[in-house]
Amino acid sequence: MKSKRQLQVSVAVLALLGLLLNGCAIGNQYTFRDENIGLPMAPAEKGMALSTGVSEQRPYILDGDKDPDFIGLQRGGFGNPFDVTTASGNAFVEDVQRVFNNMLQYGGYDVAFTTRLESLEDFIAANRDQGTTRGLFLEVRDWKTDVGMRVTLHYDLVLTVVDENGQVLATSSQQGLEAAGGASLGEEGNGETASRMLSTKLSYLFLDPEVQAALK
Amino acid sequence: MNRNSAHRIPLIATCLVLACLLLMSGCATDLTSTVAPGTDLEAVKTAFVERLPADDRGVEKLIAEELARMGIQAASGDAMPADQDYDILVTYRDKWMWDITMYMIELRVQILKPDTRFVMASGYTFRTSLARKSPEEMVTEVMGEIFNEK
Repeated sequence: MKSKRQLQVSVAVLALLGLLLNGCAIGNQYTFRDENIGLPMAPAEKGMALSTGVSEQRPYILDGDKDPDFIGLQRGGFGNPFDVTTASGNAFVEDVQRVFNNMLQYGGYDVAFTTRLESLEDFIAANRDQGTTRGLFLEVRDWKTDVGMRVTLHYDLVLTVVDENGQVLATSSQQGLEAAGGASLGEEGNGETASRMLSTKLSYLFLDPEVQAALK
Repeated sequence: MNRNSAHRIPLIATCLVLACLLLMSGCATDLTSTVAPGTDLEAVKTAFVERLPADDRGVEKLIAEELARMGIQAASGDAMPADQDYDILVTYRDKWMWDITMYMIELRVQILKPDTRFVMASGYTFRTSLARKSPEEMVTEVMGEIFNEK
């Protein structure tokens, strides 16, 4: 009788443990902060007018496997994955667009027109009558964090800079699979890591000398 | 093996799992750094460490002292003086926890370009209670990781 009770207690403790471990993993949401993200080049002196466009190209979004607010996975106690979404409730590319535009404005540029379109050709056409000096088109081809014991980032970002006539002046990309340190117990710490990685990778797109030359 | 011992196995397994989890969370550590492509930290000669407004433990002074030990002329304060040029601006964020005494559980350091605040490099160290180190050692650890000083 005593042994049966011990067995029941053990099963209950393990079930509770499983629930607790999974409880931290379900329904995580990350906020992408946009304040004071620096560009590698000196600020444009007179506030060059820019158009920006951001395009969702993540295959798992385009094929409908995941919702547009999907930004990664949080592993439960047994490695089981749960989707992580944007805290804003917006599509991820909307958050990217906000972070990207604020970064440019903090860097001294004037983002006079911004849009979300699928292709560079559509962006060039939409940009034609905006009267801006340069157009910056950002393709989000991959972006997801996978959080278990560590935070791993899968990313593929491509930036194209065009002039007022739609001529491509420079292209820059950041892509890879990167470990970003240990995971925190909780979505706040992991969200901070994800947010910091987004701003870092976006700013690295501007390290390309041709991109910098195109924005002077 | 009698029937009683067979039924004790789940209980022992539960205790082992709990003990492992406690040990794992008690002595977890992490140390990472990232340096932007093309950044040459060996060329850094001067630095200013900007005090985190919420910090009343003087971590900015510890970082400045560590930079000085590494051969970099370093100053610290609430804000970088506008009339002085520095090669890098250093910012940080520390987190503390209580476990019998207060201890630094994590320290994140960023190396910025002073004029644009572009993140040239960053480092992070994390140590839970059983693996705790002094703030001085945490600073040495993370700065060594960023500047690749082994």
